[in-house]
Amino acid sequence: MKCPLITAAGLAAVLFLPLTASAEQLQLAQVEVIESSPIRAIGQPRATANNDRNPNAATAGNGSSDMMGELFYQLQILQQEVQTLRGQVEEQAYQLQQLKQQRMDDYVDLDRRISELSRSGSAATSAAPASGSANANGNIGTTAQAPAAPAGNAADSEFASYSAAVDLATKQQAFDQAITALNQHLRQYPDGRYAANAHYWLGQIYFVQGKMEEARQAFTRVVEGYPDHNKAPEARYKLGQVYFRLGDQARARTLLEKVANSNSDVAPLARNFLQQNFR
Amino acid sequence: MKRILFILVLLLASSPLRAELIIEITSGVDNPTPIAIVPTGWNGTAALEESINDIVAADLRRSGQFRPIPQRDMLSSPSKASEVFYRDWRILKAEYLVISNVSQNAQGGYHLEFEMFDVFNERKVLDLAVDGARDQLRDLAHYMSDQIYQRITGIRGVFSTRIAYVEQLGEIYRLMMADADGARPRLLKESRPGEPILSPSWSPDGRYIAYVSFETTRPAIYVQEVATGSRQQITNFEGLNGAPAWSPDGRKLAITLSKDGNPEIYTVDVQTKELRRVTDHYAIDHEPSWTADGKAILFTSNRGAKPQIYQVTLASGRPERLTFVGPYNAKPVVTPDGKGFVFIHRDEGGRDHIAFQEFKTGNIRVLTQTQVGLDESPTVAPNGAMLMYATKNRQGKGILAAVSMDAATTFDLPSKQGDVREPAWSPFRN
Repeated sequence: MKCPLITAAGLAAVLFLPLTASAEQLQLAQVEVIESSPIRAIGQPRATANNDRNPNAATAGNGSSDMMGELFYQLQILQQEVQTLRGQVEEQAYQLQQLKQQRMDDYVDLDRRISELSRSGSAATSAAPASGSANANGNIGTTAQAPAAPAGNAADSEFASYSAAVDLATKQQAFDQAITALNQHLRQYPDGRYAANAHYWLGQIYFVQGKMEEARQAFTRVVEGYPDHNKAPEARYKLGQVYFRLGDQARARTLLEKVANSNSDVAPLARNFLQQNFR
Repeated sequence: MKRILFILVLLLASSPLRAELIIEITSGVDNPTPIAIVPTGWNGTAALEESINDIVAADLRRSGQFRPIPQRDMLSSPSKASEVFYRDWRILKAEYLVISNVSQNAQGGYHLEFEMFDVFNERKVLDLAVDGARDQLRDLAHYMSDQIYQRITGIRGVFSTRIAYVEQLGEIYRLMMADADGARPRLLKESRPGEPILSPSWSPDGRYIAYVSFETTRPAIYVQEVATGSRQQITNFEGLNGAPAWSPDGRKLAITLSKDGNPEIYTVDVQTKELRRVTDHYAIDHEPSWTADGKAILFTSNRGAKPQIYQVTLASGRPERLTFVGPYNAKPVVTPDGKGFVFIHRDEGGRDHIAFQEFKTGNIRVLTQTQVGLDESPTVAPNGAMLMYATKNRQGKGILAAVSMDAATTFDLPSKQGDVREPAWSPFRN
């Protein structure tokens, strides 16, 4: 096929004009370059490059070149049409994918809320779990995962004991009493289902009170004793802060980096802390 | 937002080739760290050609993350650790204090020593010395800025890096290289009238610059060694030869060639000149940029009618569209950390700004706010903290401007003469 456009200036024009569609853009570097280039003398009028219908049928001549011109024109129109359609398909595929993701997110959210509802419904008989008000450090979410369907009285009283102890700290700010209550709870249920939470809360309280050594011990219990517990990342984050306060930068950093590289909820906090306090 | 206007001290502006870029800081972060840079001690007889402490203060101020305390407010000017009274600096609310001394060394060059103190914790946090030749006072100062910046922010400083750019004076094009603060411009290549120079691109080791020159009356790609000026022609095909971009390993260039009829992306081995075609489409494929792992190339294409950014994996050759917001997205440049890319993004009002898109989420952040909306040619500092681009000022003159990647700090580098465009930020220099 005959392609009348292969000169440097023509190609440069092909290249830049469609990419810089608006009029103001024409003042930009690239186009100036074309105009100031000496090639222009031998180049084609750049209008051939524009997407507007500018059939090169201008090269009118005998019948066969008319036909070629017409075919070439048709081909250009088809190419343009395909490009437009391609653009639309790409955009619709993208939108579809967005919608799918959105739908998934909505579903997960709904599912979470429904299961929360049904859980709190079954737990309504026992004391409602303390909706953990964040303390000084603002990084405490809800106190604990709500007990999954407490089975029998033993479980009920275990939860009640734990919940009362935490309430002392979060609602009444009675830290010393809370420490006593939490220790009592731990003596009674050393391997209970809230043991990790209790150690975690002890750590939090000691931390707020500035008793770093005690806080260190408590958080270490959680981190080492319950590495898979959902409080473990938070405990590790706090333990990092404890070491930082204790002046053990190296250990603080190791812990915080571990948290920062995890995908737990407190990872951003850890990253933030690292950024502010370590280079 | 605070508006600080600040003019860089102009030095050595004697030669006509030294068309300096002047820096104007147009906005900064709201809460920059106050730091006191005490005047540098010097025991020589003749005055130094450069004021080291002024250069350091200017560097740190330009980053937007620091507020150097004015010299006139300082209560004392210690040059030894024993002369430091923290009280003097607490009053000024300085968080850090830097003292320095420069002396002549045995080779006739300079020896610079500097120490930094944390005022609140009353301890020394930095104590370094560096030597340089007679003409390297600015390099010594930038080294000091880099060390201070890194010690405090944890991010490697880019004050010792360079920028390459193209300056146009009438019909003459000049490929220039200057310090990152616009000082000490050096001519790398001057064109004959009407023969444009385009698209400078640094090799990853910072030793070479690839660019497009029209000196053979059509665009051809050259690689020039920065230190020696020796040049090598890489391509000279019929049609367009454009937009070179170095692969991360420095062995190849991704380029645009139209030798087969319309612009396509190719890679060319710098040593062997072996050519490989990457894209194959009758639409225009242009402006390649490598991903950080060197396994894929981003490029601009109008295969979907409107120019958008695509990514092609070299192994599969299959292109995938990356940008979906806005009618026009072009000139992708992958950021040094490889997490995303900056590009020209046209908004609904038809204004062109520089934006950043993260690979993982696809989220877009528009970084520039210029009134004219003619922002182009983004290039990212090697530490990923700043972005430089070309735009026009209100008088329509081509200038370079910079913005931090959080969009908080901006500054302009207008040239004293001519239009400047197509900045390329160098890699770290070792």
